[in-house]
Amino acid sequence: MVQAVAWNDRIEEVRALGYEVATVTYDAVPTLARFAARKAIAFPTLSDERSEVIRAFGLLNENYPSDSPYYGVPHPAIVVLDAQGRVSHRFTESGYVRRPPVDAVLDALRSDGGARSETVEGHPGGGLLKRLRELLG
Amino acid sequence: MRRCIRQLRTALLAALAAMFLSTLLPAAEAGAQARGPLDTLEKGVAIGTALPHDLSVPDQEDQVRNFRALTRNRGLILIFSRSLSW
Repeated sequence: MVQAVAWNDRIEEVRALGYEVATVTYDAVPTLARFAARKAIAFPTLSDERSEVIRAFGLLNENYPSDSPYYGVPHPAIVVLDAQGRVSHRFTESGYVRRPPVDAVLDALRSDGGARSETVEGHPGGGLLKRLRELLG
Repeated sequence: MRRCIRQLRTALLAALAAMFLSTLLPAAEAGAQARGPLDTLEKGVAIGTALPHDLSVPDQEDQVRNFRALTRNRGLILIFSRSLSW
């Protein structure tokens, strides 16, 4: 809950980076509607009551028996999908005590954009190629 | 002249070897990024996996939208959490 509010506080920054945020929980729609209204949540909160999305992403927490009210919850995780739907980043914790801070996720998304162009310009073979060109004169 | 050609050939081979090794480095780094201090869970979809579910589930307004409708130009950040009511 605190995590969703923290992301909501940064939603404009996230969108300026070219991303949308959505939460996935096993909550029913009325529960999500109440939460979203109370906290003025600006992004989609998805209702995965049967935990189909959670299972498809391989994140079902199997520590709870099927008769437990907690059965169906996921392991805490942030999965970033690129615009084609491919998994580009994962941020996970084995417990709920610590969550990946918003800053850490945004920093990773920002630095990846920079790293791609750096790799092209600062190609490790570039220096040798330059030297070879000089040799060939 | 022969010595010059030999030196040139050695330099060319060294350059080609360096270029080949440099293509391996990004792949090794990508593999290392899959697990780290912010990715400690041994479960879940791996980096590079294609979308395993089109996300056609209702949101808080009871509207069903899929990944295409939800994503922006760079992508979508999905936060998997226990419950928003706890």
